[in-house]
Amino acid sequence: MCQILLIDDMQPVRHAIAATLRKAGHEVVEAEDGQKGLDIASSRTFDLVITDIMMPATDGTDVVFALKSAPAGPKVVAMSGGGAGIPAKEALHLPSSQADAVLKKPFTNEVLIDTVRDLTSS
Amino acid sequence: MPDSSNDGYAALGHLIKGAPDLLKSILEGSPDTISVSDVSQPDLPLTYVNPAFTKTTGYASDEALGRNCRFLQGESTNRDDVARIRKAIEDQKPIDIIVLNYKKDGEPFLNALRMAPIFDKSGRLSAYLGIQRDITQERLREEKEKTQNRLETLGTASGALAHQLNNLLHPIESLISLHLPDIPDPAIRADLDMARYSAHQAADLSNNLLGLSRGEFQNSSESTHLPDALIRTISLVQLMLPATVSIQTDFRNVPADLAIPINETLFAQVLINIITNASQATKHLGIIRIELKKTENTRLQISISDNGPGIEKSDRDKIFKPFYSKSLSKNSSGLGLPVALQIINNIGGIIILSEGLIQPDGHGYGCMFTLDLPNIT
Ligand SMILES: Cc1cc2nc3c(=O)[nH]c(=O)nc-3n(C[C@H](O)[C@H](O)[C@H](O)COP(=O)(O)O)c2cc1C
Repeated sequence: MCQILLIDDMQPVRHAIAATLRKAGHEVVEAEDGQKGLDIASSRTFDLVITDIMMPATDGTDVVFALKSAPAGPKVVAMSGGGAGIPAKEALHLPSSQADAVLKKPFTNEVLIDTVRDLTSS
Repeated sequence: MPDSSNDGYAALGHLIKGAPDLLKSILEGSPDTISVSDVSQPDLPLTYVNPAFTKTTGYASDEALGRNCRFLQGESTNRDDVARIRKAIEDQKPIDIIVLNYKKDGEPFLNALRMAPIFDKSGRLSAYLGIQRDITQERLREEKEKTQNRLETLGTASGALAHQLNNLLHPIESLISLHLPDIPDPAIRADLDMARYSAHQAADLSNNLLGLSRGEFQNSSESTHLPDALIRTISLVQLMLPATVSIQTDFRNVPADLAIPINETLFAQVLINIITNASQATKHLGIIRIELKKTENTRLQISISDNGPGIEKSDRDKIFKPFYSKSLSKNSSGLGLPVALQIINNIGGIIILSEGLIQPDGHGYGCMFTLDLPNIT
């Protein structure tokens, strides 16, 4: 069981991911944008932060860099399906240099759970 | 020194005095065509055409003089255009019109014709002037750009749509998958499984759309990777054609890293054109087979075969000529294949026409277009 912070601006997507994680036994806190996510992350500790990349206001790339620049921060997963005219690969290019794992949307529930397990089992 | 300011007649009079033949030389040397008809004779026979006219139309002056210029018209010339010219002549008005004409060798060309009645100084109608310009190549270029812009717009729009769809489809598929195992009633489980399957299919379709826009149609990269780009284009064509036509492909024995020196939009334009033609040839009921093979180290071939009526040997080079297919089908621009050939020739490729798949009645063969292209991997 892990403490997970999930940041995604699309509510139905966030809901589905959170439900999948909770059913797998994890505890999930949800945030709807990058800034809110960073605020929550600074007030308590998480084992893992999963953040969408292309979001209005504070972008997921900023979240990844902010979290990874602090010593002993949480593990971070960057996820993206890209945006209009921007392939997912491109959106994930910069965050992938810092993030512990990337998830290319759309992904299955199994891939999500496996990724979380791989990062938190050690 | 006569006062020649603002008086063209005076200036010309002066000019002729100094060099009696200059006006003739100007007409003869003009890079634009000049054709003149006599208004005092019935049916406006041509009384002068300059060398540029001969160059544009193929008709020497002795073949043109004494005849009405309608000999340039032919089978596919739009009769309404001709009626408009006739009306302008009746009304003694100038006219600018684009009309399909034919050169002496039978090759169609698009003529941007300007005609004007010429009045003498006293205001009396004294001749008809016609200036012809062959704008076929310009049209080909415009057609190419138009299709390219259309494809780019399509790529952008379908990409934006696909993103929205993906975001909506993810929760459907994910939440159904998540809770499906907890449903005890097998009949309800089966129903939900069907719903999940549909969402999955929709996501596949959406990802195909996304493939089209994944930068490929917008970027100006001068290389296109195969078979990926071919697969993307085929899925686009499939959306454009009726489901009754069957497109078969086989890229199993192809190396995954082939590349051709062309921008993907142009490549897609060529393929869409040929595949759409093939589908039309079979009245959208036939089979189209698309194959890709590496022929030597530096070449590869993409072949598109159909089981339609085929193309007569004697017509095989003609279909690449501008406006030829216009005479075969009313709703063809007549420019699709000429543009495709130009694009392929520009990158050092050729298009070979041969017999395609056996026809449904087993008697003859359809048509096969083979693109023979440089492989730059
Ligand atoms: C000087 C002159 C040049 C002409 N040039 C062309 C031409 O290049 N192409 C064309 O289709 N018609 C041309 N026409 C128009 C045809 O000769 C003819 O007037 C037209 O077809 C309408 O008449 P019709 O309906 O009797 O054929 C020209 C006419 C004149 C008087």
